Amino acid sequence: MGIDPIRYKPWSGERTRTRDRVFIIAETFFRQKLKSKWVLVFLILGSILVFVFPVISNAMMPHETLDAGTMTLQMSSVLFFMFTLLLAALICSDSIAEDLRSNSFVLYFSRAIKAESYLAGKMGGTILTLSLFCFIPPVLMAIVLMGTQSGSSYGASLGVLGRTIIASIVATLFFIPFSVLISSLTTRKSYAAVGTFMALFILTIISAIFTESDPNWRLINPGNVLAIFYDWLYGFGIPGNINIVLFSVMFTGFTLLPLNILYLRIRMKAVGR
Amino acid sequence: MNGVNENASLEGPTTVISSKNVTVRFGQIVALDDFSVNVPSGIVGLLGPNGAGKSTFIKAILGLLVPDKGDIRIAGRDSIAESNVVRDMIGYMPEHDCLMESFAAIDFVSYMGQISGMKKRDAMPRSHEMLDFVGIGEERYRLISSFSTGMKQRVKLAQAIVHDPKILLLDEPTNGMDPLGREEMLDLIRKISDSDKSILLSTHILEDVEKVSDHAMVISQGRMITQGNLDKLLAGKEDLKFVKVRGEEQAMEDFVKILQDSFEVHSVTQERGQTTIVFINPGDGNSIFKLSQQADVQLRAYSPKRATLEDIFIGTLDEDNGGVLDGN
Repeated sequence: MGIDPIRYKPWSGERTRTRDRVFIIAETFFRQKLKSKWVLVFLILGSILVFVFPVISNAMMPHETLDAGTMTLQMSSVLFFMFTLLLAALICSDSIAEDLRSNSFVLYFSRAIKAESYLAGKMGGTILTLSLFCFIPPVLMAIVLMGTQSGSSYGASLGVLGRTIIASIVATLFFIPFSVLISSLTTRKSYAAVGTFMALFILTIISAIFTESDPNWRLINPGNVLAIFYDWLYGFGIPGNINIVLFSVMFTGFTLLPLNILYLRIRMKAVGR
Repeated sequence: MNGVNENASLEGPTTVISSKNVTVRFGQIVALDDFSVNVPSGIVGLLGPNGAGKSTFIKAILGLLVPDKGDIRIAGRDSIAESNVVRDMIGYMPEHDCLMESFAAIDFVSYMGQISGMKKRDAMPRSHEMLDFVGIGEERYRLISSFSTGMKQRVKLAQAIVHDPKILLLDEPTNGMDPLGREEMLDLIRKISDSDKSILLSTHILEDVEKVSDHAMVISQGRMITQGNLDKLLAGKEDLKFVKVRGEEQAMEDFVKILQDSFEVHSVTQERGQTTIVFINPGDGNSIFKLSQQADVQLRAYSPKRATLEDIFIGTLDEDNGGVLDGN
């Protein structure tokens, strides 16, 4: 090593707009994640187990249109829920924890990046990565089943495809605020990953224990909240024994509430207090 | 010492950073206490012991801390209200570890360039240039986690200058570096300054500032102690000498008293039966030899002493107290 005789050269290029830097953070996070061995393993394994086999079996079975029931079953399946949960925990685990550990927050916020831009960038990166499992495969499955339908009623199938796109977006976004929030509470990504998975898994167990006493206990389980949402989205309605207000509260509790807490935490970090 | 040194309130045409009555508190602790200063262009040393408030001031400049009171302007712009504009003008090298260790150095510097507003096509070649400049060779393709402290300091400098900021805030840049590495880092700072950059160099090592800068500000307990040309701050310190003596306890006490009567004594320390006295003696050493014989102590060493940050503190306190010094 040693000092290179090169002199310091000024740079006279054009600067990008500050809002464009959000995409840089998202893209860099996404690229880093695609280098992660475990993320790739779960993405590939999950896609094969959750989508490839059902696509083949459903495509081979005679069907006149893309059926809303088929897609509801697919989106509500326990396997899809478990892999989504695992991947969300794995992908989001170091989104904030790593910056906390390395103290690199200061490098972001000493630049023209606000707390909301930082958060948008990090969440954008996690959304991009998780969409490889939660958005692209379900939409592809719907397209394949539509392509192999025997009937000519493409209008109805397009309706189901549209709903599948919405369901896939919700599946992608649902766990991210909670998982990123957990990541912001620790400096160790392993704690964040295990913490996210276990917190949501324990809720699932509690829900299973108490559901017999009151069906509304189903709403403690994030998987059930999503399943009820898919039922409503695909036109099957919300089960009669479920309180709609409670359902809305829980849906918000799993998404908007952690998002707001997360924003406040990052904002506090950004201004050093 | 009360308030701000008179020099600190002089606002010149080349002021790059100015703070007015800035107060920052962390609970009961006052990190910056009514802190007012005008930082001129060029390389300026921000000197002070650990915990003096140097890093807090730098963070307040960047808007990383919102002051409880007062305002800071960078090139005439408000550090809070126009924080994005201000931050685009500044490059910051933090004191502590802050590098993303899962990145290769080249990717990291390029990433920092991009989030500082460089396009991807500009950021990568510029990152190579800057890593060449700071002396990171083929190691740039290795993960930062495998770097030594000295190499990490260089990468920290590279990420601070990659977007060619007008103002550079360097917080203890030579921290943890070996003597050779320190010299090289200071040389890099000089080279950057040649490119018409304003650099605020925060350190507790006076020698570092002396090597790269003519102007220094001394800060302690969140308050400005003094600021100005280094020659001015060090005036009178060129006659600083130290003497080491051994002998009977009473004899050494007498010798200290004799010196205090004849010279301006800065400090007296005792260790393992040996007394070290720092004092100002513009004359030669003959008188000291005679005084040591007179007091019946063994003169073990007598030599000029290089002025330190502590000596500037003592000198400033001396001025404020009208020449009354505590020999301890």
